[in-house]
Amino acid sequence: MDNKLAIFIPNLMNWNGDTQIIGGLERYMIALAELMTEMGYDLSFHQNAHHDFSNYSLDWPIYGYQANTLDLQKTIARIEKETPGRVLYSSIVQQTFYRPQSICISHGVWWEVPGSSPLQAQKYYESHVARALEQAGLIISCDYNFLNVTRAIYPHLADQKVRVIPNFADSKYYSPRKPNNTDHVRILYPRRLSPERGFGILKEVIPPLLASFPQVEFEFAIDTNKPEYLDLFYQWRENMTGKERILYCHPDYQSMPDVYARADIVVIPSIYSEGTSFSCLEAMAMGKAVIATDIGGLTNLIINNYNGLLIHPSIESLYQALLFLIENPAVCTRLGKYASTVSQAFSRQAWEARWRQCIQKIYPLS
Amino acid sequence: MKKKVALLTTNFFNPKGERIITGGAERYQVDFCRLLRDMDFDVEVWQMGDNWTKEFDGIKIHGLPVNKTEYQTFPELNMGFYENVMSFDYTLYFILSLAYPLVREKSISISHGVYWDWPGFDATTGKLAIKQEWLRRMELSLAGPQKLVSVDTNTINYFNATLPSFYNKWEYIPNYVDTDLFLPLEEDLRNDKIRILFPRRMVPVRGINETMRAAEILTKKYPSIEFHFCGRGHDDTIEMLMSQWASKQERCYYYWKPFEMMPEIYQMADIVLIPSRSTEGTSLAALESMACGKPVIAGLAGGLSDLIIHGYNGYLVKPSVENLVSSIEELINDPKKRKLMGERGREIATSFNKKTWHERWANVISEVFR
Repeated sequence: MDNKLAIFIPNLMNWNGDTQIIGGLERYMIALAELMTEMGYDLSFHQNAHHDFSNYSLDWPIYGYQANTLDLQKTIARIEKETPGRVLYSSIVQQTFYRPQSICISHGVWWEVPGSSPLQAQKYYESHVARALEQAGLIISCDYNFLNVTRAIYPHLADQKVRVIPNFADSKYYSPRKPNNTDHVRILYPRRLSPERGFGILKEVIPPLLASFPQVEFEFAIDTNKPEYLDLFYQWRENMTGKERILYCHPDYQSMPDVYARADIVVIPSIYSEGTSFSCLEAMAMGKAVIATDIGGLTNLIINNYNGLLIHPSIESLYQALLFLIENPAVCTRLGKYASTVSQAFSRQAWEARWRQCIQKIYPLS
Repeated sequence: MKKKVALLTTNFFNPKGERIITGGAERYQVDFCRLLRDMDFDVEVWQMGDNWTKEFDGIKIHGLPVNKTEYQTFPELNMGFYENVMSFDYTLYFILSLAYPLVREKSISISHGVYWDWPGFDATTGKLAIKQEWLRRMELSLAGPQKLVSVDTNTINYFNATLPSFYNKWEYIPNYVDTDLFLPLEEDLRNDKIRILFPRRMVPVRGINETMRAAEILTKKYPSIEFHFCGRGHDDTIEMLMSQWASKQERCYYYWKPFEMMPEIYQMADIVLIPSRSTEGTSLAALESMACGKPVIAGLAGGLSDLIIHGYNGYLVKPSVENLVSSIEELINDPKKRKLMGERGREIATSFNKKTWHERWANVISEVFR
């Protein structure tokens, strides 16, 4: 059989096709593409764009298809039509149609927007999850939560189609380093500024903590994908008392280990749409005290008060959790120690081995 | 004057007022009533029954003469309770669906885990329209109480993904283990036999069928291993069939023990199986095994992924015969890994100790019952 395989992805590059997007899904797909290339597949990426483009700056050709944000299904239909052969769907969110012998990836339940209605929720699981369960060959889920939620909605189908392969922390780059030995307590937020990531909660707890603890500082490691989020961030920071203790950087993938190394506490305050977050796993691998929420796949990584704190995503809980860790450095050390040993159970090797099996099963090479 | 709390459940006793087989939820209820008493509340319990009042562990339990269930909810029981507890200050619904349709102002509901995630639930709800009516009623049961407490994160995430409006009512208070009672053996007095323990009810959702097949395969292959099935069946027939089956197998044993004996049962095991296919919270059996320092091979269901990290303190597998055999074999052949995973299980279990459970519940109770 032909070794060509097309991967559909929302945006590996930005919509102009000139800059790589920094994000979890994008990194995930690069790691998977590296594995599949090594296994002998001839890959190409197909994504949304402002205008059609072809880009050859990475190891695989990337093709952009003109898209309108208000009607992405039209673009997907076109990509489907123009791409014959075998397909792997990088995100269950992008699709509502799946070829029979295909794999589609779930990066976590994503539609549980607080305060939305049962009907809206139903629309999401019926148009994406139910269809993927019926049509795709296999759904790879990055966490147990997606499988469990899916089973509770579709008891007959979930276990037949969904396989869990948790995300990984690459110990080649992420491992504990010597303690910082500074008087500062640095709290790191290594996430996007988008609403689901909980920046809205975090920014409420910063003023009282900066005011009570002169040794505390915050660092935001944020991407530059969305200029409008960045502008809001700069404006917010500009008006803050103690803004010199609110630091920020825009690191690329390679410099992230250094960013984690400078932190003492890492916050992952997601309020919805969360899988086995790379940020969470990497912070754990670096031996940091992690505060995560009981949302999605984070519950599969953090056991409360064993290898981190697992909190309800509210201002009050986040404030109490940060207060507790700032006042108890010994607890930070203990949580960080267990976080790093737990992270070893999420090795890149194990991730690759599990993926290999699924790929061979669905896309056999003759 | 002491404030009064009324708790509603379905069947602590069976409706005739006879003792039923004790499971996790019943133990939870006893511990929970003790906690309320320690906080200086007066507690009484209501359930289905023929107008009797009984006492258990110093708590009055009243049977209300209603037995109708509709769409997996209990409107008559709920209304009967509502009318009977007028003189009480606060109410507690021991199962989420019991809060349909009507609740008192200061009330809390508890979820012990998702129980609608197995194909059999569809058989009881039937047509799509009936399941939708069930979900609509669940929405109303979540709307009433001030606080919703779940023993696992799975329930919270399921409801956030289907009935997202109650996001801020949820509180995760995982189940607990008495880490002074459930302890690793200090000295290893066991012989070179490897004992594999299945400490659950003998029912399909707990993975009994797959475990029996795995036991047949593995006892043939490894002369050094024993399989212990410890727990009740739903009725005499199941228990008889289990005994018959075990007596025909080499080194397979079937029995059950009272709660007081359970620490010893866990302690003599080398590997514990919790291979649930569905209907699972933060299983007490899993927590107790971990507290006794045992590696746990668990199913992927419900709250088990809140307790077990695959490859760290056990394995999370889809409980097929093949997966059970291969994961059990890994541990049979690697005593060092068994020991390491068991030690980690004990460390994790201490984060689920009963004292923490008390504290977290005390916070929620004092927040709502005031």
